[in-house]
Amino acid sequence: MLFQTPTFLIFFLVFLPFYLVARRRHAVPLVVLAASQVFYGWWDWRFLFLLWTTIFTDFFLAQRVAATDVVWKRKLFLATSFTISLSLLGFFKYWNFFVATAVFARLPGAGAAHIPSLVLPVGISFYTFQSLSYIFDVYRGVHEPERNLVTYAAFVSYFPQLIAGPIQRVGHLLPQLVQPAPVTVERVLSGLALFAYGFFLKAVGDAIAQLINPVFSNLDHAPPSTVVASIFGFGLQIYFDFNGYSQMARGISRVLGIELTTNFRAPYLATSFRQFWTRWHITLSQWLRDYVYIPLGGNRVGSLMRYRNLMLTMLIGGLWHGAGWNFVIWGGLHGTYLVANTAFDQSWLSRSAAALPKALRAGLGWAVTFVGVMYAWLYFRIGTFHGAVTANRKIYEWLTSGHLWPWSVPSGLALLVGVVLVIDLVRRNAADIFPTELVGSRLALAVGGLAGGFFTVGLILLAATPAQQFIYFQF
Amino acid sequence: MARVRHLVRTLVPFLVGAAAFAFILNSVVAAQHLPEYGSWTGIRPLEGKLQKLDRFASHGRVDALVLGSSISDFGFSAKLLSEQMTAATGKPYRVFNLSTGAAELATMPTLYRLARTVAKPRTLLITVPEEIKRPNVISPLSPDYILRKAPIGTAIAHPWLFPFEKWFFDIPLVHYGAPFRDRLVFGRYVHLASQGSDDYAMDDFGDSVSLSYQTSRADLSALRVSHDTMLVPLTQHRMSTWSQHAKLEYYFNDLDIDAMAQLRKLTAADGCQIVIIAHEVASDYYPAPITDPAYVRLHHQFFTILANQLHARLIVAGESFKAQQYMIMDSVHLNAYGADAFTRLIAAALTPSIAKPASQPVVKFPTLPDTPSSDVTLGNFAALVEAPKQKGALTLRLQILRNQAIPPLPDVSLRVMLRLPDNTDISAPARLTSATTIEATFAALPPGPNQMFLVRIVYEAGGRLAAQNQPVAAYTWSK
Repeated sequence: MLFQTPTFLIFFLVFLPFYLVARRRHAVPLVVLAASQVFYGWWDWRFLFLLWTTIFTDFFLAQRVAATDVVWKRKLFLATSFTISLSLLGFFKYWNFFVATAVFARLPGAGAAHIPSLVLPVGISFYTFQSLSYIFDVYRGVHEPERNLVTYAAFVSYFPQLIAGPIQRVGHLLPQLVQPAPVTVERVLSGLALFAYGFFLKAVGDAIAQLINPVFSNLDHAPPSTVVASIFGFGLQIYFDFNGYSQMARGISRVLGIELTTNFRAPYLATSFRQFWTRWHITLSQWLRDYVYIPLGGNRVGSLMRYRNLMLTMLIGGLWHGAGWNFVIWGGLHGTYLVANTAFDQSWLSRSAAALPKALRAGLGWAVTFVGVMYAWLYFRIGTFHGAVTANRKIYEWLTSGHLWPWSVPSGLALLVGVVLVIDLVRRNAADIFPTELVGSRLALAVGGLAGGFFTVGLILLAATPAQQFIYFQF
Repeated sequence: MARVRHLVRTLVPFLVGAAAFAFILNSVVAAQHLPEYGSWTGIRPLEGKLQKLDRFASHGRVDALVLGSSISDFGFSAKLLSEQMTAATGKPYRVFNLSTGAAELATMPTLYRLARTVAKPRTLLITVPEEIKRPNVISPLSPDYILRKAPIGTAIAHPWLFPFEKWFFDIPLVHYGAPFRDRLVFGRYVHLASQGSDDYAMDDFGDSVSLSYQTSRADLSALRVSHDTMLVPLTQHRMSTWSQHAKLEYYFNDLDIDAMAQLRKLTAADGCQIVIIAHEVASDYYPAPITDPAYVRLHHQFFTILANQLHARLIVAGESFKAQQYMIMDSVHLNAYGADAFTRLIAAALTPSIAKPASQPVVKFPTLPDTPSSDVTLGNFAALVEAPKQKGALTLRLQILRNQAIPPLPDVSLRVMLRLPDNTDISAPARLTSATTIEATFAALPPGPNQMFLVRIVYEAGGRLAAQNQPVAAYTWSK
């Protein structure tokens, strides 16, 4: 059930009266849980069993973790939880990858391995990570275990963010499910405006995809400059697509009086790779920081160990995105970028650069970061070795051609992309573009105009084209 | 009270702002000249016709509506029937042709429901050929399949939605959103795929007009032979002993039978009379109608059963229709001359006050070479034009089609070439008087009546004349 389809609209309109009644009777988790099962089961009801396996496992094991002070028992329960959740994730998401890699490496017996044709349960990476963060927080004593199964299940399967995040922490979402904020007109309008903006972003992303998809499906015969332009185009597409989904999810949730964490904050304006990862897919990078990087030692170790931690964290981050070596390379590249970034900051070069004017430093930093991030997207988009080699060859041909800007970007599309980047520039440090207080101010007319504009333009952009799946649904 | 005031103070400016933007954008889109995308039905020509029917109905009552496939889209003239009926009855009689390519009986209720969103006709002329009973499945790429997959599919499943959907899709922002988006975002109409219907003009009565011939005698004979032998009629005994339902099931599938029930119910509610007009593929009329007794019996059985089921009047006038080769566009379709000749027969059958045309006049026309032809001056769109009635130097003005499927005329010196009934070619320099009109003056021509010329636009290449493939929409002769 995609947010931008009439099916979801009907679903939401049916859900809303039940939700409003549930608020008065303090039964929000129950109604949210029921709606979330319909929402998830709409895609394939059989995978509800998988979702519930994760829910039951972490719910009960978290109780056991909290119930004992014996360290080895606590560790055992935590490890059991991790083993079960990661095994499910590993089997459904990575089994094919492991077997294919073993066959490729000609490992003994691998040739006889059966590669089942498994369907990837949508959103499995997101809800697994969300659930794992809960038991880990209980283990660390950051959070008390939830005693009510319904409330916990509603937390794991909360439909606005179930499929593609933003990944929520138990301390942030669970209390809101029990006691949501009042549904005020400002909050509802702000949520609708946010949804409209997300819808617009998704539509622009789809428009970009229409231009670049034919290039990626015919890389061998595409001109070098077009390939380079398409890699940049994909970088924009994935940002608009995923940010669009996140904004829509936050908008829907805000209407219900439940705030979801911001997931993007003008990432393409970052002036360093480290800053990029504080602005791109914020909820995942924070998860990786808190549950991988810091447990590995984080910054509290020597430089080399720190670099290792960074690299390992990003490799896991890459693999989280998809079961393929291309995602490992993508993660590895970002790991390398972060290591280089950290090494630079610790070196005499950084101190020398401090003498440069601030604007020049920022400009240089932005250019290096932007190009580096865009280059890495190549491996995200192209899943084959041959494709990646071809794309790199085309980049080389483009660089040595002497014609670095022979691109022809449709002006209308450039204008729409420009609008988003200007909004990013203006609101780069804000939590979101349409905060609740803005709707209640004298700017309500302008906010309404912008929201109406985003929604209308989004509708036009998607007119007569089939609804496209969000890219992050596959992760 | 304070809460309500707060609600209004917050809600109203927001909604005004949102509506204002949508209103402004809607006005901008409405002011553009944008191509038809078929955003509601998924079928561009059909939606274009529906727009025409909307305009047609705004100028007066729709007395009759023609429904059928491309056979009647090209091979029936609502324009001529309107003229003939108006002249015969002494009061305006207005017919619109809503036939659409590949439509089957099963499509008719949807077409009728579409028409009803604009106007309710007093007579429904269902113009169909007899066909082999098909399996009970909606084949992909059939109009029914496309309609069900398009946004209109919701209204087909829930017919009470038709007027609401029509209203919604008439909003410029909705109807022309996709072409507006393509022009704005991509700089061109990237989602506008060319299709066969782009090569033909459509008059204000919904008739697709073809002046061309695109076939060979061999093609005509081949289809006619296969058509002649593909069906087996019911025996006399079965015809007299079988129930109407059993006979119906012999010729029609469940989808057709269900469509008939829907049509009966809809037309009865509207007080609309159904007339079934038997209209075959063009090759069945060339050089004369099929006279094989088994085929004729089958023909009658098929249409009698259909008319009985629909409580309709039946007109089987085609049995006396002889199509000459200049009247045929291809083995399935008549061209505009064939459509006129066939419609005259139908008009006479509809109203006793219209005399049945006397036997067709002998028309002289040049030998029509088989297509594709080795003659490079003949393209797919060589047009047949009637010879002028006047004598002396005359100017032939050709109106040519121009749309996304047809490139504009090249910037080279062009000529208009005529092939006369004696198979001689003459040509004259062409003048472009607008983007869609081209004219040429001929010094002396053999005057009509009952003569046809084969006209084409040509250009000089390597000392020879070659065809410029340009569909002709209409023509006039003037002094």
